[in-house]
Amino acid sequence: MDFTFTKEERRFREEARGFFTAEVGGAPPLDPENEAFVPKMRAILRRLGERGWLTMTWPKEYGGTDASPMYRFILLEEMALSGLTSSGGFNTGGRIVGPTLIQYGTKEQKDFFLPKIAKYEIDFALGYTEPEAGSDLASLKMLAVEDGDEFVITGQKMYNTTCHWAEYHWLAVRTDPKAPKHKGISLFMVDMKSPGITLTPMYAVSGARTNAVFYDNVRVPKSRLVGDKNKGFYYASTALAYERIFNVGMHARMLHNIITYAQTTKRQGKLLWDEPALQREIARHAAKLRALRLLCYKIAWQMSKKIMPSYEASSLKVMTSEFEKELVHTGMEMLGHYGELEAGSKHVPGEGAFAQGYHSAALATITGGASEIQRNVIATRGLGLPRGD
Amino acid sequence: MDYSFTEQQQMLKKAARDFLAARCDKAFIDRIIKTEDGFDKGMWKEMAELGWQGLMIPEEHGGTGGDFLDLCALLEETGKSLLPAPLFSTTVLGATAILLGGTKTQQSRFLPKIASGDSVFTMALLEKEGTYAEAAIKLEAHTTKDGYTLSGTKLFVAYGGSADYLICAARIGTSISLFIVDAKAKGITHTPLVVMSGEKKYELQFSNVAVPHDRLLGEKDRGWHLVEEVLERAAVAKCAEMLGGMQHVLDFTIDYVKRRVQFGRPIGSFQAVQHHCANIVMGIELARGITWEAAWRISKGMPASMEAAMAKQLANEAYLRTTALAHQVHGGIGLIREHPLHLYYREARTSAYAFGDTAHNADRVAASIAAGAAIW
Ligand SMILES: Cc1cc2nc3c(=O)[nH]c(=O)nc-3n(C[C@H](O)[C@H](O)[C@H](O)COP(=O)(O)OP(=O)(O)OC[C@H]3O[C@@H](n4cnc5c(N)ncnc54)[C@H](O)[C@@H]3O)c2cc1C
Repeated sequence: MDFTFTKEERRFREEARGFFTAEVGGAPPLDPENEAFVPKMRAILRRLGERGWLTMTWPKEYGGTDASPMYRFILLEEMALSGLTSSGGFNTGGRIVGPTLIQYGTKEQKDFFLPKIAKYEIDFALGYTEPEAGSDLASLKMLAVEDGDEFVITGQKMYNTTCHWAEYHWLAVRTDPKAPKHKGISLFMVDMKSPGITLTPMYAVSGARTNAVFYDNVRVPKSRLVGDKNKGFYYASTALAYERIFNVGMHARMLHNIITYAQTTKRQGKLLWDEPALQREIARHAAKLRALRLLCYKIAWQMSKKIMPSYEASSLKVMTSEFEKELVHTGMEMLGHYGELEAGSKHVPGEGAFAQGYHSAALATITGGASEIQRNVIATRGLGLPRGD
Repeated sequence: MDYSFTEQQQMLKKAARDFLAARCDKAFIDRIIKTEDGFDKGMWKEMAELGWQGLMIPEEHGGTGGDFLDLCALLEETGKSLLPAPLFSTTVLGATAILLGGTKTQQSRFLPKIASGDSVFTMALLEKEGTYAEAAIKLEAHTTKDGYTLSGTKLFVAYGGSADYLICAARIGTSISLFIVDAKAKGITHTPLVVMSGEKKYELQFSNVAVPHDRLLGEKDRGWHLVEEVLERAAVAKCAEMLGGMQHVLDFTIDYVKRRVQFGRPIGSFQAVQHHCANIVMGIELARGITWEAAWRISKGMPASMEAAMAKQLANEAYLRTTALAHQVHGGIGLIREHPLHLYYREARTSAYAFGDTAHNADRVAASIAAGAAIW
């Protein structure tokens, strides 16, 4: 056993930290739920792309450096520690599309898309969920019909978060209505400027924009079908595995904010920190933070050994999102009445980060796969328990 | 024993439900909470015609002479609809303080105007520290020949910008006195705060605000005692309002999980979802029993400080848990602003601070036990 990073990994971490410090510095944390954040974040991603950091783990022939997944992990952890969101739908191209194309894409698709993804010239919106297909993704209804060299797509998507700025849609569509649910779905890369696509904005409780997306006879060239027809559900599930690199950098920031506030705020003549009940709660969070960090490192380590995580990713998804809620709860209880103030208010603590955290935490256990579904995976795939009917 | 509402209370609740169903939908709330006043003045008058503001006010002062339990029964309904209006601050804080501490003259001067919907009241209590502690009151009252002048800063004053009168707690030396202050008096600066829930809250800065002698409420220097009496009622009334909110969330959640189909069956048939719903209802049931006992005790003039502090702890936990679990079983749809659920999620958070957060009320129970109170 060895719980340390290699010298090269440590050096890369220093470099990444320097990069993010220069990007966000001591400036107030950008609000990832605010639309004004989008162009700023995209500019940062482009600068990451220039350094080749979005694609380090890709094979050399596709512009990567064959780096171990550990480097991607370190980058994402440093990014979260800096206060930048490491998910939020950003870089779906680099996170999901690129790796899938490398495995299943045609030469033409690779040549066209991979360099653009690597430089962050384009990004993709994740187009899975529909009004009637959320957790049960395989029941999606959006339909693609073959017509000569094209597919003609009609139907509706729901909560497709980055559709209003992403250049392409990574779209799951039914191509064989007669086949069993999982076996009639294909993935497409659709140019968001295609005629027939309309968006209706929807705003999440956190303030972030997402969209209902309507396709009305949208014509998509066959060359934009990913891999084999009707294998999309399988590709989508493997693509998800690439997303399963978790880190608790954001949680570390949250706990840090709580500790700082407690150690600098007096109530009834004493520091909040001097309350033993709060100290114990913080101590427990600190222990959990370290333990979760180790689990995150473990997955990164497994992936660098080419062991694909299965149920472990689900358990980390549940634990990190629920930990986020616990931290928010501690913060909110600690703040007392100040906890009800929101960004923009006189006297708001932490420039509104605590209140924002309360709203964002509601999303954490739903988006990217609800906790119940993850627990089902842990129980069935992880523990071998029989499936419920 | 009797766990039921009287026929009259049931009629009151039914009338309230009908009125609110017709008048207070999500579009109304979204619109009203964006206005400066934070409530609809026409609707406020209609509420007075229904007898809401005067519910607890004796008939001789223009009210209907109900009791605290009646008011809580009504607040359970307004809590269901998240009614954005200064009903709580006017009745539970303003009218209660005047009923408990006011002179005959003050009562006949202010109570009829509350009952008629002509006066909006609120309480200016909390300050920089944000706690419900006597020592946290720093706003000072100085004696002058005509009365007093007040200087200092109050925070988190509900409807502090639209109220006509404030029940203001001020320090004179080592003790606290209460005053009925014209909310628009010279020397008061109103700064709106941005608060999570629909209730408008303000910072009020007092700079030598003149208050005449006859606006002293209750005995001079005994004001904190009166504050505690009001706070005890406010905590319980808040619990009733919260109960309405959580019950409503449970109702529409159950309705949703029966209708929403995934994997070919209603999500309400999945045990994971069922267990969340079961956890919600258990929390609500716990909070409900102790809330109504506390309300009943207060309405009978019995001591209720222990019950009030217990009820508020459990209601805080239940409302927070109810809305968090409701979000969980709604999935994506509940996380979109068009859906009403997030308004309750916000309300749960702010209600959990109002009149004592969970730790504050736990400390009160612990202090009672330390002082020898029986736990059984
Ligand atoms: C802000 C936001 C952004 C999003 N961004 C995107 C995006 O960019 N692209 C995209 O494709 N999607 C996106 N989504 C959709 C998201 O992935 C789904 O909301 C999520 O998968 C849950 O699906 P649902 O909302 O339909 O809930 P449902 O599937 O209806 O679930 C409701 C409840 O039922 C439970 N449940 C369902 N099935 C079972 C079962 N078998 N056993 C036990 N419990 C069960 C769930 O766990 C949940 O508690 C986003 C959602 C939100 C809110």
